[in-house]
Amino acid sequence: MNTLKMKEILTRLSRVLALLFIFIALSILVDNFLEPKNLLNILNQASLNTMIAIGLTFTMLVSGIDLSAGSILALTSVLAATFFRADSVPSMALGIIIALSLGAFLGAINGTVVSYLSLPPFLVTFGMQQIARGVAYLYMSGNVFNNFDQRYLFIGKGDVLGIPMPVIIATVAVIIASLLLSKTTIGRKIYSVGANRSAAQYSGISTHKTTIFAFAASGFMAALAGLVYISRLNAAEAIIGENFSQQAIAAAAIGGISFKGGRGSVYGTVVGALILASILNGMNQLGIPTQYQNLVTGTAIIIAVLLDRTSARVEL
Amino acid sequence: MKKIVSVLLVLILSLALVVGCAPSEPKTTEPGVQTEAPKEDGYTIALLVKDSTTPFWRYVVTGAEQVAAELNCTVIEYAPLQTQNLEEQVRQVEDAIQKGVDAIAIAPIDSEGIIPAIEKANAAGIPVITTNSKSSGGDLETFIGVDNYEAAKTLAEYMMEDLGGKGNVVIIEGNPAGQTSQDRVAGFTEVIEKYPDVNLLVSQPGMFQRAEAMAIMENLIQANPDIDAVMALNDEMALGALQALQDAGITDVKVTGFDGAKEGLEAIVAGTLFASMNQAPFDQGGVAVRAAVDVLNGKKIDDWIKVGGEVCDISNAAEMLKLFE
Repeated sequence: MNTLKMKEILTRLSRVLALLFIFIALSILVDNFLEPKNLLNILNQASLNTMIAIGLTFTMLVSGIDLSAGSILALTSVLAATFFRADSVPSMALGIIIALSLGAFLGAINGTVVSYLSLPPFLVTFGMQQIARGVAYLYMSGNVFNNFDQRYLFIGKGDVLGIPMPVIIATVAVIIASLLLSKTTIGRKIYSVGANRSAAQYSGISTHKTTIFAFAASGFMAALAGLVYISRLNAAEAIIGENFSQQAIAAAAIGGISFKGGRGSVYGTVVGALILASILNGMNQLGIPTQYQNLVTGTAIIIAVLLDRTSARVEL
Repeated sequence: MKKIVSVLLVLILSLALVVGCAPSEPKTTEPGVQTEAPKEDGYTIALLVKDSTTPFWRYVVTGAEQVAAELNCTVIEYAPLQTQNLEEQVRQVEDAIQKGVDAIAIAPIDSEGIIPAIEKANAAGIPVITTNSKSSGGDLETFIGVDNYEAAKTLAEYMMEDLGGKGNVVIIEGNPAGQTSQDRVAGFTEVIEKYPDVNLLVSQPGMFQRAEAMAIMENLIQANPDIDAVMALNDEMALGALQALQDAGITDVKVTGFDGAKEGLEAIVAGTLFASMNQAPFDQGGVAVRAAVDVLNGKKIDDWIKVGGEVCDISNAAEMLKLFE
């Protein structure tokens, strides 16, 4: 076992321990924290962020970032919502397909510009964030689409054997994403491109295609999260998801995904999202005002990054 | 070379901004010719609203445009890209002054923060009318709208009466920095405090956004199982809170909004929303334009033109809904 592997394990272990610690602390402080109903509530609240953060993880693994996820979510979901008002299954299916493909397409545009034109991902996706949001505003022109077909509401509000649908969808996404990254060629390519782009290029990997794939995955996941979100909200608005990208970045940072690329895993991101959701849930239960929540989230991110820096310096 | 390119870029970008801010800009306006040209085609009135995303402000703009068409005037709408963004609104007032509009009708996002911008308009000799929310300073021709504080008291009394003077109440605030939110919260809490058996459990800001109110409500349900009433500071948030309650299978909590716009009225008719406050959004825009034209024609107008102000409930919602057809 090499030192890199060891460090990876150390990072992961520290996150799981942190989550465990938060759980123990909150179960002492909050009366009904460990009740199944509340635990499901935490999972439900973490599921949207998890979906977006998984997509973000792909872009971060190729040493990118995606600031446009929240806006892509808004644009794809308002477009899809147009189709959910007609009470027919084919129309709904069409809406879902359009949203997911548009999400992947917008992500692919991000990836293409980043890779072929070698522009900084931060700025490219920042630009896309504004463009997608702008188009969503223009398309909706102040309207709100609501009262969708009852069947559509199932994916955001329904449950199977008591487990909320968003949790199920997020879990499936987590499994597929982690299999994709660990067991397939494209997954290995993503890690190689992020770890060392030129080395990857010399070894015959198409860095362009790999980068585009990673960004498209992020756009796709944003669109998926959007479909679940508007179902949960039973309304589509151009403004939704304004701070979703930041929350996803917080989850990834807390989950130990390296901002330099090539290091981290989907599970880290999931643990990050769960840590965030548990902290927020616990604070709400304790009646701590919302204003303090940003403070705590911010501190958690900095502690996590600091932890990584320290563990990276430890000689094994 | 670099300099030239960057200057060009800045120019293009700022042009894009100007175009983006004023979509209803009349095509006949020539840039640069903004001095007192003869007004053969009626007046140009700038209408500054608080956001471009909620239906309420669309109704205000529609109302203004209808009256403007009737009076042969032009309305230029300015809405901040980021909802409830004071800094953007201040810039938009400056843009409107620069453009040389004949009058400014504004719904101030912050009653204090808007004063310097209004003073600039005063200095430029452009009459200013406030609608929806008041400004605490500057020379103002009139105010159009409900008194948020009085209207909130009316609605709260209606709610307390229905609760029989006892129960647990939650308030979902708007933007806590804005006057509208502060006035409505003050009205609500003053009435609530008169009833010793009514408990104000919590008062949290939801920024007038449906999604935020829904998230707040989801968490509140977890922590407080015995909520009797929710008073949201606008219809959007009331609908978000209702959604969260419905999802949790709770149907016995009474929720009130504040706006009396289409979506809220529909929910009242459907029996999900308990009540709302009529703010007469069409009038907030339409009456503002009418008042602006009166001022420009040298007519005297009242300091305060009241519109709306009555409680919307199951008894009148269907009738009020007809306005929105």
